[in-house]
Amino acid sequence: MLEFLADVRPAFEISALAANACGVSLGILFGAMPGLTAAMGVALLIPLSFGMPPVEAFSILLGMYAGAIYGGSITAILVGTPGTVAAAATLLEGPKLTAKGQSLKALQMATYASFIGGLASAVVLVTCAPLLATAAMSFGPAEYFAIAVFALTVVATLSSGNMLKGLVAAFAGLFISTIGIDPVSGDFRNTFDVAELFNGISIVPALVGLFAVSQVLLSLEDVFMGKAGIVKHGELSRQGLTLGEIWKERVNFLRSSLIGIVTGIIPATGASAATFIAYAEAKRFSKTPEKFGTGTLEGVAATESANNAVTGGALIPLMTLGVPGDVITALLLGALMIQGLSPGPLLFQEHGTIVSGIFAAFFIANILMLVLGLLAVRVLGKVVHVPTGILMSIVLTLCAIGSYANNNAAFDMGVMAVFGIIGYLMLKADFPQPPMLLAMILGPLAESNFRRTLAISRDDFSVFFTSPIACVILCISLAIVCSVAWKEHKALKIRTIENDNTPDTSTTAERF
Amino acid sequence: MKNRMDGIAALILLALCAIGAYSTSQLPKSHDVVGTGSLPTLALVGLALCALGIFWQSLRRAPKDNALPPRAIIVKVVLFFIFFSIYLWGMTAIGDFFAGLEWLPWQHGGGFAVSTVLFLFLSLCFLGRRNPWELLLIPLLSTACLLVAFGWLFQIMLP
Repeated sequence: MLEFLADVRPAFEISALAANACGVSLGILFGAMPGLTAAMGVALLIPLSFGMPPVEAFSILLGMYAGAIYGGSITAILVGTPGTVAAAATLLEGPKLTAKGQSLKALQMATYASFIGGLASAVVLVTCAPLLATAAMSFGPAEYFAIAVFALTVVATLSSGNMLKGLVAAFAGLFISTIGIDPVSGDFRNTFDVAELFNGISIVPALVGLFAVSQVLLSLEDVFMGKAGIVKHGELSRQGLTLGEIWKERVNFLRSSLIGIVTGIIPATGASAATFIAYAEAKRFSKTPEKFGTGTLEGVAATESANNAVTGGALIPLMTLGVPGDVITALLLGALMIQGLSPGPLLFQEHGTIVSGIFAAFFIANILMLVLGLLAVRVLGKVVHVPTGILMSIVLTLCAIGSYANNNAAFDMGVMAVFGIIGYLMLKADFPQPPMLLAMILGPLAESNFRRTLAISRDDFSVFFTSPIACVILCISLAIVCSVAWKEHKALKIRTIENDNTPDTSTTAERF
Repeated sequence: MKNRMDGIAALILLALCAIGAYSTSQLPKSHDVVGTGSLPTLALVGLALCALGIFWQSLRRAPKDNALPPRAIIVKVVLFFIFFSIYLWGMTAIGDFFAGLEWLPWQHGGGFAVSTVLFLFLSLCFLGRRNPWELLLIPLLSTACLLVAFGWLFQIMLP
C-alpha cells in the first residue's frame, strides 16, 4: 500500500496538479472552439511538456486529451456546431434541448456523463493494462517487429476510406524515418549533405506541422470565404439537472462507457464511431425510444459517456503494446518517445513508478474535468465567439515557438512549415495524416527489431513464423489488409454499377 | 482522367520516389542480408507501387466530392503561408541582427518579439480585422504573454 502511494505521489504534487488543471482547462477551450481540435492542442503542448518530468508532462497532455473530448459537447449543445468530431453525435439531441430551454441541463448531463465515462475507462485501464503488459513480457525483437507492423497496418488501412492512400502516408513516413544515422551501422542515410538532417527529422516540429499548421490553413479557407465565426448563440437556461435525472441514467452511463472502452481498445475505430453506437444502443434499450431525436437527456448521456470512455480504452494498447488507437494516442506515443520512454511491456517493468503516476494523472484529469467543466459551462458559451482569424494567427505563433523550443533550432521551424504544407496538401487530397506520423515513430523501432531478430537467427527469415505470437500478429495484419482491400474492391464495383445505371441528365453544354 | 487531383498527387509521389531512389542508391553497400539501404528501398518500392495504384484509380474512379475551394481562396491561403514562412525566417534574421548589437541590454527574444508583433498585426489585417484596438492590443499582449511564458517561465533562449 505504501509502495503504491509512493508510486502515485508525483501525480499529486502541486506542479503536476497545476499542469493537469492547465491541460484540462486548455482542453475544454480547444474542444469547445470550432476550428481548434484536440489533436492540435496535444500537438502544441508536446513541445512545452518536453522539459517537464514525465508524470508532469503526461498530466498536462492527458488533461488536454480528456478536456478536449468533453469540451466538444459544449458547442454542440449551445451553438449546434460540434467542437470536435467526437461530439458529432451529441448534435442529435443537444441543440434540441437548447431550443426547449434545457441547455444547462444538457450541459450538466454531458459533464457528468463525460466524467463517468472517463472514470470507468480509467478503472479498466488500471486493471487491464498491467495484466496485458505481464502477458506481453515474454516478447522478443521478432514480436516487437510484428507489433510495429500490426500498428502501422491497422492505422494505414483503416484510418481512411482509401487503403492505398493510407499506405502511401505510411510508406512516406517510413522513408522520412530513415533520414539520419542508421541505428545499426552508423552510416548517414538520405541526408542530402544537410548537416541539420544528420540527426534525422525531429518528431515535434513534424507533428506540430502535420496536425496544427495544416489545420490552421484549413480553417483559414473558411475565414477567407467568410464562413468562420458565424454561430447562432444558444441561451443558457437557468434550470439545472436534478439528482434523480442523473440516477435515472445509471445503466445508460455504464452501457455507453463499456461501448466506449471497447471501441477505444480497437485501433483506428475512433470516438465518433463509439458515440453513434452508444446512441443507437441507448435508443434500443430506452423505454421511450420515440423521444430520441426530439431532445432527450438519455441521448446526451449515451454519447458523452461513450466518447470520454474511449480515452482510457485507447490508452490500453498504447501503453501495453505501443499500438495507438487514434490520432491523439499516436501523438501521445510520440510524447512518450520524446520523454525517452518506449511504450510496451518493458515500460511497466522498467518505469513502473512513472506508469503508476501517469495512470493517477489520468484519474485526476477526469476529476478536474468534472469540476472545471461544471464551472466552465457558463463562461464558454461566450468564449466560442472569439473570431477564428484572431485565434488562428495566435496558434501559428505558438506553432513557431513550440517547434523552436524543442532544440532551440531555427531549422526545426522550417521543418514545421514544410510538414504544415505537406499536412495541408494531404488533407486536401484526402490522404490520412496519422499513418505518416506513426510510421515516423515506429519505423526506427520496427527496423532495429527486424535487424536484431535476423542477427540473432543468423539471417533466418523463418524466425518470424516459428515464433507463434509474431506469426499470429503478422497473419492478423495480413488478414486486415486483405479484408480492407476486398471491401474497397466491392464498394468500387457497387459504385461503378450505380454510376452506370444513373441516367445522364446533364446538358450537352455541361458535358463538354 | 476522372480524378485529376489524385492523378497529380500520384505523379508528384513518383517524382519524389525518383529523388529518394537516387539518394538511396548513393548509400554504402552492406554485406548483411538486411543493410543500411533496405528500409529506404522497401519504403520507396511500396510508395511507388501505391502511387501507381492511385494513378490507376484516378483514371477510373471519380472523386466523391470536390474538396477544393475556389481558386481565389487557395491563392489567399498560399499567400498567407508565404507570409508565415517570411515570419519564421525574419524571426531568426532579426534575432541575429539584435545579437550583433553589443550595446543592447538583452541578447535573446528581440527577434521573436519584433517579428511576432509585426506578424500578428499584419496577419490580422490580412484576415479582415479592422478594429484599431484589436490590431494594437492583440499583437502586443499576445507577444508579451508568449515572451513571459517561454522566455521567462520555460527559460527558452528565443531568437
